[in-house]
Amino acid sequence: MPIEVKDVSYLYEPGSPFEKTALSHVSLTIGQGEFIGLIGHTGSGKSTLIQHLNALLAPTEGKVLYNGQDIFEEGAKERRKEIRQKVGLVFQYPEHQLFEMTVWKDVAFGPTNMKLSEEEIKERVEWAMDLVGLGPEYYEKSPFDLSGGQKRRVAVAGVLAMRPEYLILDEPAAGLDPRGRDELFDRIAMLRDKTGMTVVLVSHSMEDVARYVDRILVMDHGCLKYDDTPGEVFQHKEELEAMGLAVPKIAELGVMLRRKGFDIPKDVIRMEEMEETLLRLFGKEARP
Amino acid sequence: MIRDITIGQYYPVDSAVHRLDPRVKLAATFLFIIGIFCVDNFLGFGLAILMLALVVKKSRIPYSYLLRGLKAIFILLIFSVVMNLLLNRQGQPLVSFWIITITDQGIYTAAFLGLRLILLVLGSSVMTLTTTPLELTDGIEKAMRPLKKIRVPVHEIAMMMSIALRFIPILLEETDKIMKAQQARGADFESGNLLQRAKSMVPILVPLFISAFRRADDLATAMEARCYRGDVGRTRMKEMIYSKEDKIAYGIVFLGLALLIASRFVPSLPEILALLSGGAL
Repeated sequence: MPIEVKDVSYLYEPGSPFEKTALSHVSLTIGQGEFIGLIGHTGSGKSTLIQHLNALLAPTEGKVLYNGQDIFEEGAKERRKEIRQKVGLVFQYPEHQLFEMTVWKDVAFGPTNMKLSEEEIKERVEWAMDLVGLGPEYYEKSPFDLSGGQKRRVAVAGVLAMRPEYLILDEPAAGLDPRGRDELFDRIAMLRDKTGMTVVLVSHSMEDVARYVDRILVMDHGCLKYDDTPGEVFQHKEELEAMGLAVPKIAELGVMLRRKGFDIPKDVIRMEEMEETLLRLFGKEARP
Repeated sequence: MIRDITIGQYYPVDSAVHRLDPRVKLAATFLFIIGIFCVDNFLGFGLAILMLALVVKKSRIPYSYLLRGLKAIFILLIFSVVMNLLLNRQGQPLVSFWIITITDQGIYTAAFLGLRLILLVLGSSVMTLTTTPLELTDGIEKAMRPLKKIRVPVHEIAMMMSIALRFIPILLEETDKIMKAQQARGADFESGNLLQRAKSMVPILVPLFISAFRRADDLATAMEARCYRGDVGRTRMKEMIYSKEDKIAYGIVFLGLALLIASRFVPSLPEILALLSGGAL
């Protein structure tokens, strides 16, 4: 069931001196099973866009369709509630919304709101905690006694426990150290392989998401600038840099070599692939 | 939704009123309030409205934006006007049925009360709309400085005020964010009975309090890291010194107050007629 965003514009505080265009005429479709990176500089409208995807913000203009139905229709309140469960949104610094006495209760908040049966809730909480890699020894701890990285995993589990079809993560690695970041991204990639969930990673860093995703959306000043495979998007190196976005080093090397006339495929953006390609091109004699 | 609260929000344009020393604006607001309580006839209220309108025009704040601030006191306004209208039994009764009696005196007091309330809110809104919270508290601190002699902790009060004011928008934004995050987990704040609704506030309030404490802690550390130690020996980047415009503004303000007080002594139309006919006899 795809999510379609049709010509959506959004204004903050229209009619006041603080009016600000956060989105202008954005159109895109997110199909099931995709792994997408949504990239943009701070203030480019990415957070505003994702809040439209699960009905937290209503567009000033345009429509958001879920499974072909307009989610902001009059009287579609129940549908919006359902969509919030189908489209799990993990906000930036999600650990700041923890509030329960125990980790278990906090993760169970979503499923409890869905009015599921006791056993169903139990099963989902265990499943979600397992996915984020926290064992039963954490169930009865207070979420406020955990480390920063563990709190974040609990918060992600809180969204996963609703078993969403779509998982959107806003800057999931913000404030984590490099190891914590890699662990988190690997875990998300693994989770997607296991469950077949559609995942949207929101980030300002190409370097972080490029190696995981199949498709990249680039936002700039509220407009959707590019919507393509990472390899294609990185060919616009100069334009991306003008938006304050850096192309991953390996992709940049590829672009530069291509421009010099070397035969480097556009989709070579990971270290291992680049090594292989370079060895194929010049490496045979260079290798001892 | 929660961001739409605009009471006392600074309106960022450049105007002569915006540039005035905050102490002038504080004094002007204070004297204007005294003025509208001195006024006791429609001529005086007309004058006060005219003065306010001129100041607003000069401040380049759209009238519609200013009037939006009245929404917040609308119910209070209606309530007090209606109460005065119905409960005042002095003067000539004009309408009288069942338990309701409306007198001419009642209409006057109700109208005056309503006008006073509106002018009070609009007058002080003009101050907060044209002065940043920081300027305002700096102004208060400087204006209250003499009280330091009798050991009033003026600086500390001003500092608390500015921190509190500064945190209002931050906490509103935070609340908005937490509400959305819990809504994304299926929380429902709108349906259910009173008890259920109160319970549904817990997932908002707990994170909000935690975040407020965390912010307060961070702020204290940041202030200490920058060697904050109260106002002893503290210098300022922007010294508050009265400019020529400020002095002229003071003159205008006192002239305005004098006019408002003088309006009390201008006889009303029936009185003038009575005087004239009396003189002719």
